[in-house]
Amino acid sequence: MIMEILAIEWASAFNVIGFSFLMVFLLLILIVFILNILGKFFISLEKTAPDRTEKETIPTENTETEDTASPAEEASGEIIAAISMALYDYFSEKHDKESNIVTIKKVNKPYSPWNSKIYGLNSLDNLG
Amino acid sequence: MRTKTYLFSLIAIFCFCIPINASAPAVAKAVSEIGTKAAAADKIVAANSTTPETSQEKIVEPRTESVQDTFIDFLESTGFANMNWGTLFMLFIACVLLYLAIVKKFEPLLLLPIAFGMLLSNIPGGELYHPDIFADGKVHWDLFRDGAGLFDYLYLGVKLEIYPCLIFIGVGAMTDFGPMIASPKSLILGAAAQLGVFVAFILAAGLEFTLQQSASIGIIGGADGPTAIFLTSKLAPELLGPIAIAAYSYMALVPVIQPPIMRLLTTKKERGIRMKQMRPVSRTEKIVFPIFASVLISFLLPPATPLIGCLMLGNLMKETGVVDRLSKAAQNELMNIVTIFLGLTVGATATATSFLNLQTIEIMLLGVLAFAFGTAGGVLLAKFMNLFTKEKMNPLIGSAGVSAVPMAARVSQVVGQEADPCNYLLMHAMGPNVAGVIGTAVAAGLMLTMLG
Repeated sequence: MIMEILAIEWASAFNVIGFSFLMVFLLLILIVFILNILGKFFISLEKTAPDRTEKETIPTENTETEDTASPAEEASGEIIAAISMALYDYFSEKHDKESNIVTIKKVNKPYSPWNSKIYGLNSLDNLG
Repeated sequence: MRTKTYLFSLIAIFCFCIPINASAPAVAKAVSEIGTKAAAADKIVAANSTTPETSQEKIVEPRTESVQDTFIDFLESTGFANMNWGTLFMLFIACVLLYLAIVKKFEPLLLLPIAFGMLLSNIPGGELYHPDIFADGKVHWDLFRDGAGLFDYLYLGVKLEIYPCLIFIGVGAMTDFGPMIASPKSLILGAAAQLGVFVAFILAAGLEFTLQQSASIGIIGGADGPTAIFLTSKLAPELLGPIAIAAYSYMALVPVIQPPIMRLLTTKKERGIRMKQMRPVSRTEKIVFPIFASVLISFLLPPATPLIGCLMLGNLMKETGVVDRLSKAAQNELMNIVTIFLGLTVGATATATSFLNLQTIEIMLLGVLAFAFGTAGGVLLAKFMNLFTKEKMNPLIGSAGVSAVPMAARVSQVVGQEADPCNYLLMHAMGPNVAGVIGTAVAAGLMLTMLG
């Protein structure tokens, strides 16, 4: 009896797992498929959109800069990598590396009659 | 230092309470003896009085008896008199969780309210939460009317599946599906990472949990708190406390659990694979995606509609840019308020009777296994896909299919940089990471369909 109950439970368990795992994959593969199609559609839209604007505008010297979208949208990966590298070099400040240790050095002034206070002070004995 | 002082104070108070609790009956007994002796003495005085008529007419209750009764009642009503070792242990666990949240910063946004809800709920006599009102998986409205506490009212948001959906609105508003749209095959990695869900399900079924309980335990492997709470509140509400605590604790431990598995399953050469820059994704695509994903998944899997719909609503509000106020409110005010209520009430369900049993330990162990298998599933599928694709993908991003956003993606980045410091995998890993959120919601919807 116990084995029968367990057998029923295991069958249900594997049924749930197998079906669920398969359905998760199938559903997400379906979404992948649709996203691929949508992606190609939007990429083709973007390719045709600049062609139309180029035909309509009057050609001027600054056509490329005026008709293009903002630099952030059209910058390719290589351009972004180059900018990132330049920023990295700038902030890393390539020059002689300093130790970054700042100390206050004591200036040792050896005794000298010119520095001696005794000779600099007025002598009070003379006043009396 | 301050935290140590607080913890020590708490422990000292508990140690002080134990002798009070133990001696409370003795004190009550001593007081009652004093009271009876005083009452007896008063009666003798009254009987010997010179005016027998007045003594019979004016029988006044001695004042000491009422004071005695009041004092006994007061002692018996305190939490100290009704405390037991189970209560003490639960308070200790709550303090440990508070320590993890505050000092170690383990998912503090949720672990702190959960721990404090557990602390308050386990104080005897607090009457904040009554498990009987929600027994057998339904709300007993008659008991609700008679005497519901604060947490009973707040718990309705969990029981009626409101809080997880509201949190998902906020999650969607904070999610960028761009990397996933740019590289749709990352969705498959998100599906593979659900392996942990199903492995934990099988293991739980083998440990004599019911199928509904096994599904609730398995969903811990999805590393998605709202989905775990949504599914558990429907299928196995009696396990909500330990499952929620396990899910959020392990989400915080993703940087500890995942890297050894990722290193074990990949070679250094594979970890150093550099991936091609992803294509830019237009605003239109980002607006169309949540709409069509909601419709498609909801048509195929209606029980997943609340979760998927709310996730995509939040994302749509963010991507359109025309409801900036609503998007900000979803990301901030809504998320914060619901997080407080959800954490408090989930923690409140962790009472001594529901938490201190062998099942809790089994749930904790199964949770770790679910995470481990989910990580392994994503990594192995990425390696498998590399056999058939021209553009190799770094298998480390497969581990990000475990939908602990963005922690799992960061872990992929960190482990990848160990092999190649100039390899930036973060945005590539975000694709499977957000795909895992969808995958977990789909898995939850499927289990609700079959077991609900």
